[in-house]
Amino acid sequence: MAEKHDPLTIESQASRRIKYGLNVTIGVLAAAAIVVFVNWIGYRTLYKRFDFTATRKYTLSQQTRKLLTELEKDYRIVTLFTDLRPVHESVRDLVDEYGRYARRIDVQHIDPSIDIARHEQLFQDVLKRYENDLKPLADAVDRGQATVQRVRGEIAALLGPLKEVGEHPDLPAGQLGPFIQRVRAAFSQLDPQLAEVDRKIEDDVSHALPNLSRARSDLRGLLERIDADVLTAARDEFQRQADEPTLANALKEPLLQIVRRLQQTQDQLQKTLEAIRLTEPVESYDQVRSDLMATQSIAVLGPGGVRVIPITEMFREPDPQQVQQTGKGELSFLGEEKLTGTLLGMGLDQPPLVVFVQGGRAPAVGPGGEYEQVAQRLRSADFEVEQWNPTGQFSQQFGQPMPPRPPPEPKPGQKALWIVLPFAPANPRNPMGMANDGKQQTVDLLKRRLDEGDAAMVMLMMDPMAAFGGTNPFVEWLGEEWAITPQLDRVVLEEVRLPNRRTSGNAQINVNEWPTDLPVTTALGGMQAVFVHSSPLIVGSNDREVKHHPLVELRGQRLWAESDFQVLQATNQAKFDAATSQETFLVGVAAEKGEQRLIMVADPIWASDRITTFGFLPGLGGGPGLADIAGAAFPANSELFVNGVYWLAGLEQLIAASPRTQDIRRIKPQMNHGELVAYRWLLLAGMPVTVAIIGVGVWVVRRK
Amino acid sequence: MNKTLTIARRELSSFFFSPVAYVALIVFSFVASLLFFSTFGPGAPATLRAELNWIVWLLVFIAPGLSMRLLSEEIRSGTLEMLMTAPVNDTQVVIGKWLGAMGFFVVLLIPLLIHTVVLEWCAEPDYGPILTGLVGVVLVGGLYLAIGLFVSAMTGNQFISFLITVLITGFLTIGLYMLARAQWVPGSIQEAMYYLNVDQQFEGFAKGLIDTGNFIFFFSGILLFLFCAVKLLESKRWR
Repeated sequence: MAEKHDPLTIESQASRRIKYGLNVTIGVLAAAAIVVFVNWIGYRTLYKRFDFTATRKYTLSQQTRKLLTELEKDYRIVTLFTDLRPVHESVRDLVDEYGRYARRIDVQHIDPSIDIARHEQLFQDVLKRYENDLKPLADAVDRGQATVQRVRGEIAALLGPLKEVGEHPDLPAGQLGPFIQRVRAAFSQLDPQLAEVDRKIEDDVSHALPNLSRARSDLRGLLERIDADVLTAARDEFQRQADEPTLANALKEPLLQIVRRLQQTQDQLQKTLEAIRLTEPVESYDQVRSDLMATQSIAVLGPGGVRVIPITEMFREPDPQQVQQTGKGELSFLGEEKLTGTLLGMGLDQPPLVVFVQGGRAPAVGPGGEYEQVAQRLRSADFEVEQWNPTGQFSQQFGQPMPPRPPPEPKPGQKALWIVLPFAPANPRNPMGMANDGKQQTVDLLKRRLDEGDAAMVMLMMDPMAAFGGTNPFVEWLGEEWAITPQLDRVVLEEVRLPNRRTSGNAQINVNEWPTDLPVTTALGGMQAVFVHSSPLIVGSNDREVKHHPLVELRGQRLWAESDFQVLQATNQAKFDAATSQETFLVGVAAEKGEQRLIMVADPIWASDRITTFGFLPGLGGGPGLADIAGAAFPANSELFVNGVYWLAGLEQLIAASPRTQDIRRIKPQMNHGELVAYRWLLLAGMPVTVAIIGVGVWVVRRK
Repeated sequence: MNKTLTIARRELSSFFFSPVAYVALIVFSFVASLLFFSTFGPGAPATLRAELNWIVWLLVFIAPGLSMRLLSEEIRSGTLEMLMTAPVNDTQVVIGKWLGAMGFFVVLLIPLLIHTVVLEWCAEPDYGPILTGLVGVVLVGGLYLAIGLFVSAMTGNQFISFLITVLITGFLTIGLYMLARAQWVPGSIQEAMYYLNVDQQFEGFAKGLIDTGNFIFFFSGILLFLFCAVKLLESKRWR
C-alpha cells in the first residue's frame, strides 16, 4: 500500500519564500507605518522644546507667544540676506522660532544673489498686494508710453511734408526756410532721445517691482517738454507763417496741414498729460519697494500690506559708556520686539491718526517739515499723519497764511493723537496777535477731543511773559485739568567750567538715565538724548485723580533754573544760582486721568529734525541731516517721541521694551599669535600623531 | 543582554585591532580640527556650531565607512552562518553590532571634546549649545550607522554596501535639503521633506535646543532600520 502524504507537511521552497517574504514585508510596512504615526504625533501634539542656552535666547517672550497664538490672519516672514554673518544668523534663528511657534506664520529664507526665482516670486507677491492701488498709475504710465510712441510716429511722418515745403520753389526768402530746416533737424534728433527715454521707462515698468513713480515722473517731464518746446513752438510759428498774406497758396495748404497734424498730436499729448497729472504715486508701495531693493532686510507680508524691516533696525549700538566701563560692547538685539511690534501693527484694523498742530509758518511734516523724521517713522508703522494750523497754514506760494481749515476728523472708530508743537511766546506789542495766535482754539480742541477718547502730546517753550503774570491757555489748562505746572519763565542750565577758572551756563543738557515707570522710557535704557532750553515742571495732586509718570529728568550736580531773560539771551555769561539749584529737574511727564492720556514736554525742539537727524562725522563735526550717514547722535529723542505716541495710542506692545543684550561668548581678543600657533600645532598635528602612536602601540602589543 | 554586550565588545575591539580605524581617527581628528580653526581666532565666537554643522555633512561618508563591514564581512567570509547557529538571536546580533559601531563612533568624536577644552581655555563658552550639539551628532551618527547596518546585511560586498549607504544618507542630508527648496515641489510635500531632512532635524541641537520631535525622529529612525536589518538577517535562514 502506498504511503499517504499529509499535504500540510510538504511545503515547496517557493511557497516558503512567499510565506516568509510576505511576513517580512508586512512586518516592515507595519513598522514603517508605526514610525510615521509616532513622528506625526510627536510633531503635532507632543511637541516640547527645551532651550539650553545660557540666556534662553531662543525662548520667545510671553507677550510674543500670546500674540502668535492669537493671530487671526496668515503672515509670511521672509529674510533677505546675501551673506550669513552672525548677526544675520541671529535674525534667521529668531524668525524660525516665530514660524515654529505660530501655525499662521510661514517663514522663508531667500538669498537674493542665489535664489533669484524665489526672489522674483516674492516681488510678484508684494506687487499683487498693491495691484488695486497701483492700477490708476499703471494705466496712466501705459497711456503715456503709447502717447510717446504716437508722437515718435507722427514726428517721423512729418519729416516728409516738411521737406517738401522746405524745398518748394515758391518758398519765400526769409525766416520760414531756415525755421523749417531747424524744425526738421530738431525732429530728427528728437526720435533717438525719445527712444532712449522710452527704453528707460520700459526698464522701470518691466521690473518685477515696477518703479511706477519714477516712470510717471519721467513721462510727465518728457511730455511737458515735447509739448512746450517742440510742438507748441513749431505749431505757433507755422500758423503765423501760414497766416502771412504774402505766402503762396501752394505753400499755405501744406503748411496748414502740418499745423493741423501738430495740433492733433498736441491734443492727444495734453489729454495724456492731464491723465498723468491726476494720478498720484503710491507712497506706501514706493517705500516698500525702496526697502526691498536694499539687501539685508526682513519682509513681513500680511493681508493688510507689506512691511520691511532693515536689519540695522534689529540691533542697537552699545552704549559707549558701558563699553568703556565693562569692556563689553555687543550690539543689543531688538529683533523680537521689532517683529512682534510689526505683526501687531499690521493687525490693527484702524491705525491711529496723528495730527501735528502747529501755530508757526514752517510746516510740521512733508517737504520742509520740521518734524518729518518722526512723522516718517509713524508712517512706516502705518499711522496716518496730518498737520493742522489753527490760524491757517502759511502758503509759500502766496507768501501769506491761508484761511484756517477745520481740524482733521478721525474716521469712525479711529483714535486721533494730537501733537501740539511749541507755539511762539506771546508778543505784548501785538495784542491782536495774542488773541489770534491759536492757543485758546487749540486748548478748546484738546479738551473736546480728549473727552471723546483721543490723546495728546503737548510741547511748550519758554515764555518770557510768564514772568510778568501773562496768561497762557496751555498752562492754565494743564494746571487745572492735569495738575502739571510748567514753569515757562525759566530755563534749566548746567554750569560748565571754562579755562581760566571761568564758568558759564549751558542750556543743552544730555540725558542718559531714564525712569522706569513706563515702557516709554524703560526702552531707552543705554540711549542718549539731548534737551535744549528746557523749562522745569511741577506736578502735584489735585481732586481729579491724575496719575503722573516722570519721562524726562535732567540730572546733574550743578543744575539751576535761570529766569533772567537777559541772561538767557547769552547763557555763556550765566552764573550758577544755588537758590534755584536742584540735582534733578523734571521737564517731561506722562499723565493718566481715567482713560485719558497726555504727555507734556517743556522743550521747544527735542523731537524736531534739528535734533533727531543730528549726527557727528569724525573730523568734520556735527550737524542736522548727518544721522543717516554717521548715525544719530541723540537717538533717544526720536525713540522717546515715537514710544510716547505708541503709549498715547494704547499700543504699548509696539514699544521695543527690552532689547536683549546679545550673549556672544567670544575667544579672548588678546590672544597672541604664538598662542594661536600653539593651538594649531596641538590640534592639527598633536592629536593625529597621538592617535598614530596609540595605534602603533596596540599593534606592537598584539604582535607580542 | 550579556550576549548583546559581548557581541558589541567584540565588534568594538575588532575596530581597534584594525589599522583602518586608526587611519579613520587620524583623518577625522585632522579634518575636524581644520573645521574648528576655520572659525577660531581672537574675538571670534566661542562656539562649535559651524564645526558641528559641517561634521553632520561629513558623516554622510564617515558612517557608511564604519558600517560597511559590519555584516558584509560576515556574509563574504561565511562566518554569518556560524553566527546564526550560535546561541544568539538575530536581534542580539544586530543590536550588538550597532552598539559596537556606536562605541567606536563615540571614540571618533573625542577630538570635539578636546576642541571644547581649548574653548574653555580661551573663553567662557556657553556649554548648552556645545553639549546639545554633541548629543545631536551622536544621534545623527546612530541613525546613519543603523542605515549602514541594514544595507550591509543585504550584500557581501563592502564597497556596494558603502555606496548604497552613502546614497541613502546623502539623500537624507543633501538631497532632501535641495529638494525641499525646489520651486516645483508642492507645499505639503516640501513640509514633509523639511521634516525628513537630517540637517534640519540637527539644526536645533547645534543652537542649544532640544525638541522632543527631534528625539522621536532619530530614535524611531534608528529602531526602524535596526528592525529592517533584523528582518533581513532572518530572511537569510529561509531563503
